[in-house]
Amino acid sequence: MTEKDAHLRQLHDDIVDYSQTVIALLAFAALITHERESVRENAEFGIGRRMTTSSMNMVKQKSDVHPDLVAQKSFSYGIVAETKKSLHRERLQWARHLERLRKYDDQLIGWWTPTESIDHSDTIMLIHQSRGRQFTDFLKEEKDRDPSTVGPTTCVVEFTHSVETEDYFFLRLEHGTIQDKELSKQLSEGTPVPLDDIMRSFPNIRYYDAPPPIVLLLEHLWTDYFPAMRSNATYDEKNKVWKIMASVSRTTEEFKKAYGSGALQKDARSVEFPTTKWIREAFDRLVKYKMAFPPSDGSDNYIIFFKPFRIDVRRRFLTLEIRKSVRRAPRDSKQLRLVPLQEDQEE
Amino acid sequence: MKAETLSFSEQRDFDVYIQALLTSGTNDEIFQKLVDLEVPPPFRIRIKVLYANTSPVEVAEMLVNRQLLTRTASGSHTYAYEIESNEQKSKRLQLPFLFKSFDDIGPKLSAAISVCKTDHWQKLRRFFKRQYPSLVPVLLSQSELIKAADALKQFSNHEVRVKAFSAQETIRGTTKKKRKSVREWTDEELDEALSSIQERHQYLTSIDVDFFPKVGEFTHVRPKVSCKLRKDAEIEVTGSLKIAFDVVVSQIARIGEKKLQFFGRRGLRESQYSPRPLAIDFLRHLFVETKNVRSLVHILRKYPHSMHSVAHGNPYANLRITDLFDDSSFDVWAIPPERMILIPGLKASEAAFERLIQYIFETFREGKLITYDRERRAFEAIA
Repeated sequence: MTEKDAHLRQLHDDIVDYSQTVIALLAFAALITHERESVRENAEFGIGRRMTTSSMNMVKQKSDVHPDLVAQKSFSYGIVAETKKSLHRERLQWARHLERLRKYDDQLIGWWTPTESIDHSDTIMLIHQSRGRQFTDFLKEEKDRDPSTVGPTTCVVEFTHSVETEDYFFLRLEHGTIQDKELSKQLSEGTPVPLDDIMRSFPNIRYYDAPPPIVLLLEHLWTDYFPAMRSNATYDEKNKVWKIMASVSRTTEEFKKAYGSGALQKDARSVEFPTTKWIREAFDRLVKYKMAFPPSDGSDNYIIFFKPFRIDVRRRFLTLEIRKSVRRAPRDSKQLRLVPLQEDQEE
Repeated sequence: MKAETLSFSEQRDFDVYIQALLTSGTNDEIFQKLVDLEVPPPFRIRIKVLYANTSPVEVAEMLVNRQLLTRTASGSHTYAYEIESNEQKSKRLQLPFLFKSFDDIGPKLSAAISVCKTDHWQKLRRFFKRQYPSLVPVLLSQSELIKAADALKQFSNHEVRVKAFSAQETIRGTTKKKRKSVREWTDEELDEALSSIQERHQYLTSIDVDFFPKVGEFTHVRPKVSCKLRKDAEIEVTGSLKIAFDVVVSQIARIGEKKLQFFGRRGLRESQYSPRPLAIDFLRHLFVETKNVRSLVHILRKYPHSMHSVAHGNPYANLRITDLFDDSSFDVWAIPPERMILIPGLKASEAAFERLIQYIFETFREGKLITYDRERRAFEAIA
């Protein structure tokens, strides 16, 4: 395999990883909040929800954290989850996941209860089956080395996408003890969540609170958002393109409502995604491809030079990424912030 | 007795007569004249049911302003499309037609009625096709075409017989799948004809039906009217326009109205960002076999006048299709064992939904259309 092919493969895998992570999160949320087809009483979930650590937290006290998933089964039980489809090749990098789990393994504040606290909760690493055993071994080794690195309610749940006679996400407990009896039984035996059920409940959620691979966002903008803006565009006969005026803030707002946080329940602790930073970066990437013109008047209005692609849109953007020699991001970049976090902000 | 075909000069005179008829009086008066008109071969009364977001008449007026159509009379919705004469290339001919609305259906649907020869009609239908998506054809699936024909029995006190049907049959060659057109002549009653079409796995494209008057148990030997119904809601009439319009054309328009209503307001912007997806359930567990998933992706990548992006092609399918006629977009999933999901994007017009689903039905398989929500309402039940 040439370096170019490997790069292409990597970019493609990043997109698949991101999309599968979104579905896995929704599958896990659905498992906790639903009983057959109906939502359980007092059940709620949030993606990237702002939770607050206690004064007893082992890592950082009384600070805000943003777990990938917070799901409440009832007023007395809920889970906090960190999700990883893939892991960094360097095991040393895994320590930060452990540290994050340690931070979540706490009496967090921010639940959907009158006091915002909950009696019982578990802290779960939701990870793809291919990496589940490795991560569990790592977790055990670290616990043997220093028992304080792993919290008392930390578990590992594996997920896998299976397409056989039915298409489903299979969830199974790999390590730890789930305090809720019903959920414990389901996850110990392993439970399938049909993709059909996930899609019916959340047909439009395409993002979570981690930035998506740029190609995924570009593909989505090019096949959905820009075409929907074409009726107000002007056609440039010379360059055979439609000139579309697209504002970063308006695009972000519409994507939030249609495909992100706006399509989920919202309260003061909810986070919003996609963010203007992601959209701006996507627009800037189009500028780099000479497919857009940046704002020159201090506004956030870009001029997009839109034309329909004859070839597969994803393939086209993947090829452009390779051609423009955009520096390859680390393997698990999809779960890293594009912009460094501020001191008081947690992933 | 079969009418004799007109001579060339008679045809020219009849053309002039039709032009005069279509420019005199109100819409109702012109329609009544058409009802009373004896139409000699090779002329036929030809009708096409069309849909527009506003109304087909408004679209026609817009086309008049753009000088693509001529308004032939002020008191009626009659227009003329200018075509080149077959005999004399430099000579221009006016091809008139009437837009007639339906009493019990809203203004969004009208029937374009013309009296012309086949070659002229081809030119007029091509003109209508070029006006998409301003003018949208009603597209009937095989089961809708069958049901429309079947329903004719209930509406008329005539015996309805299938005279012939056209269908496409799949030929499986060594390298790739091809389709051939078949035209079969039958002398069967409707139910028998329809069951034999299904048994032979043919895809119906048109049905020719005869309406025989009945007195008690006795049936006339000659039909009062013969209609050819096409899947794109075109009806060719020989005989009584009154029966054809009241029974056949109105029935097709009602199906079209229900269908386009069903597809309407599903784009995220129109639905206030509340998703309103649809699904197609196939009878067999098609997507258990990878070759069927691949075949579907292959077909969708070739969807005319579109842009696509394939996220997954195997073992399950997920791709986005953008309709370049009106910029509607759809996220399409094929999920084993037998379900296909169509999730509308920010913009998704009823016309684009109809076109995509008809394409899937014709090129892949026909399935049952349902709302993709907890209720899972079938379109058939709603219609």
